[in-house]
Order: sequence, then C-alpha cells, then structure tokens
Amino acid sequence: MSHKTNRQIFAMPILLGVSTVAGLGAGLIGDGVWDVGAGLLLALPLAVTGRYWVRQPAPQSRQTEAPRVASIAR
Amino acid sequence: MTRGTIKAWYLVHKWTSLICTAFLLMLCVTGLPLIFEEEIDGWIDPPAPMATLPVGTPSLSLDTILARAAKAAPGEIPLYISFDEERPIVYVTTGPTPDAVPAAMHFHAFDARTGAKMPPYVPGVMAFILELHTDMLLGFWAEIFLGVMGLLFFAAIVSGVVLYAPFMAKLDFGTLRRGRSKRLGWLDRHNLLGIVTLVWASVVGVTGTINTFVVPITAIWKANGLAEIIASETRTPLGSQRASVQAALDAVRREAPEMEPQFIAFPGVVFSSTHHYAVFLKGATPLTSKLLLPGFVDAATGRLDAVVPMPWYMQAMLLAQPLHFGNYGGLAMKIVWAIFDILTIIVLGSGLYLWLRRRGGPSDQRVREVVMAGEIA
Repeated sequence: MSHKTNRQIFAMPILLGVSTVAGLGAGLIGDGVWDVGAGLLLALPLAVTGRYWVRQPAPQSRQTEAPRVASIAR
Repeated sequence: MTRGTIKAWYLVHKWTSLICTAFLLMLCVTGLPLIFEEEIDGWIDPPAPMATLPVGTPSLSLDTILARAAKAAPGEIPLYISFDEERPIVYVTTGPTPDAVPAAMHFHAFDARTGAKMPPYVPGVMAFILELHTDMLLGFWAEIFLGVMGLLFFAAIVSGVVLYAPFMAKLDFGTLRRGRSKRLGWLDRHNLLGIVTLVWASVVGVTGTINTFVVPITAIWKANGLAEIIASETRTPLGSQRASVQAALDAVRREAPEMEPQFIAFPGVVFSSTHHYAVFLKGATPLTSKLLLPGFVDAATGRLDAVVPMPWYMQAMLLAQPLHFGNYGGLAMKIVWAIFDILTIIVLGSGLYLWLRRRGGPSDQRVREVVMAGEIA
C-alpha cells in the first residue's frame, strides 16, 4: 500500500463538509424548497456514514475480480 | 509531517478532549430533547384554544394590553413585550425592577385582539433541561465556563482533523477493520464519525460558545452604540407618565414597513437604555428574521431618537442562535440534528474509551499508533 496524498485523504471529507455547509446555509435562506434542499444536503454525510458503517468487509481480490468474471460469463 | 509535529498535535487532541469531554457529553445528552423542544412542549402542554374571530380582526392597542398586565401583576413594572410568531398573542414580561433576574420575572399572555388573558406559561421539564444545558443551574459564570469548554471542543476537532491525515495515509476513506481487536475497531469508528461530523460539530460548538457570551457582547453594544443615542442630549426625567408604547411601535415600523415586530424592551432592561423603549423589528425570511433592527423611542416624550442597524458582532451573535438550535429548517432538519448529535456522543464516548484502553508507555507510543494507522504490534 502506498502513501496517499492529502488530496486523496481529504477528498471525501471535504465533499461531505461542503454538503453540510450548503445545507446549513440553504435552510437560512428560505422556507419550503430551501428547507427540503437543506435536509437533503445535510443528510448526505449521514447516508455516506451509514453506507460505510454497515458495509461487510470484502477481500480486495474478490471485489475487483467479480465484475470481470461476470463480463466473461456474458 | 514530522513525528515531533504529530506528537504536539496528539497532545493538543488528548488534553483538549479530556478536559471538555464530560461537559460535552452533558451538552449532547441534554441538547438531544431540546432539538424537539417545540414538539415536546406542544405535546405535554397543548396550546390553549383561542376565540374564533373573523380574519383581519384588528389588534388592541399595546397600551390597553399593558394596562391589563399591570392589573395582573400589581406592584411590578413591564420589562418586555413580545409577539407570538404564529398566533395573535402578545406576551408581557413583568418584574419588580428592570434588572430583575429571570426567576423573579412573570410572564403574561394576552389575546392580541380581545385582550383576554391566556393561560400563563408554566416552565415545565423542557425549561429545566434548557437551564441544565445553558449553565447547569449554576448561573452566569457556569455559562461562560461551558462556552470555554466549547472552544476546547473546537480545538479537539481541529487537532483531530490534523491527526486524521497521517492516520489515514494508507487507509481508504471509511475503512472499518472488523474482526481485529475491539480497540482497533473503535479507533476506526472514532475516525470515521469524527471526520463526517466535523463541520456540523464545529458549527454547533462554536455557535454554542457565542451564545454563552450574549450578556457580555450585549454589554459592549450598549457601551458603544447605545451610549451615543442616550448621551446625545439632556433628557426629560422618566416619571410615572410614560409615552404610548403603541405609538412608539408605530413610529419605528414607519421606518421599515416591510418588517415585523419581534419584541419591545422597556427602559433599564438588558436590551434597552435607561430612557428608551427599544423596539426590535425582524425581517420576513429565516435569514433576515434573525437580523434585528432596533428603533429607540424616548419613553418620556415619545420621540423617535434613532433607528440603527446592529453592529456586526450583534448580528453574528443573533445569527449564531438558529445555527446552534437547528430550528430553522423544519422537522427534517431537526431529525438530522438529532442524528448528528448522537454521532457526536459516539465520537466523544469512543474517544474516552480509546484513551482508557490505551497501551502503557510514553506518548511516543501514541504517535506510532497514529502513523501506523493503529497497527502496532
């Protein structure tokens, strides 16, 4: 495993942070559709967390192999 | 990043966290029900029904309402008038003196159209939880102390983000190593939850700290901006004869017709001078409704002395409130707030667990743990 750059390490955290900030701001700007947008933007980091929290560990090899096997079978 | 730098940040993270964690856990636990304060209050103590009157029934003069409040609270003086956001209700706060503590104040509610007295507000369990959350029932200095804990929490977040980089150097985002040691599992969860709650926790933490400084910040505003208005000329002494409050409100509203009244502060209270009715107007959108515009009316002569926007630090303080409470985006936002709050509790708890279950040895061991992503033999 090689060293990741700061950019690689912080790409996802920055994306989720920007989404949070946008959600906090959208709620302040208006009601109705702005509130819906705020809820969605704020829910994104939570959804991503949930996705990683429940994901079962899959060996690296099987993850990359599976699609290739599938395409050969077709 | 050199080992020395990592060690310094590790020590910042360790000490800021250790000092603030117990208080932050208290704030997160009491804060959780407070997110739904409105819903819980409405459920425990449903709002009293109001008389059905034709739409557009005019409101009574505030002076009439004040006369009723005076009858309801003999020997007390009015301190604040505020207006319900949804229903035609006027609230009058009375107290023995202008500098009365909140516990000595009385809160009266009137139907704005008929002047009928509404059932009095009874502080219930939510008011108690709010007091715990604000100052642990210990008053002003405890509130300031919690503000300082909020700053330490922010320092813990910043140092945690700095340590996240060397820790994650060889790991993919969201890596949770399962089936390994229990401590390693919680180290991964602490990192994942810490980094996704980063922005929310920073905003709620810093705005919470700002909220604890309401009294000193307001004092600065009074000392600077208000002093000019008060000192501009000699004043007719305030006697028992006071100018009309309704006329004061009307005069200020003429200056900003698109705005709505939020509250009126009487002479001598925190939000006014010793000589003015301070009429605070608010805007119509969630953003502008937090940015108040005060107008100052001489309480003896009824003359409008000034309508001056608040300085930036007062605006920032007012804007910090919704960002802390999460009450400006409907139920969806409240649910998001609650989930972030619970995740923050897990970050705090797992941080404490990681420290309690640390392996022995000098803090250089912890630096190795950071750069080796927890994989130390």
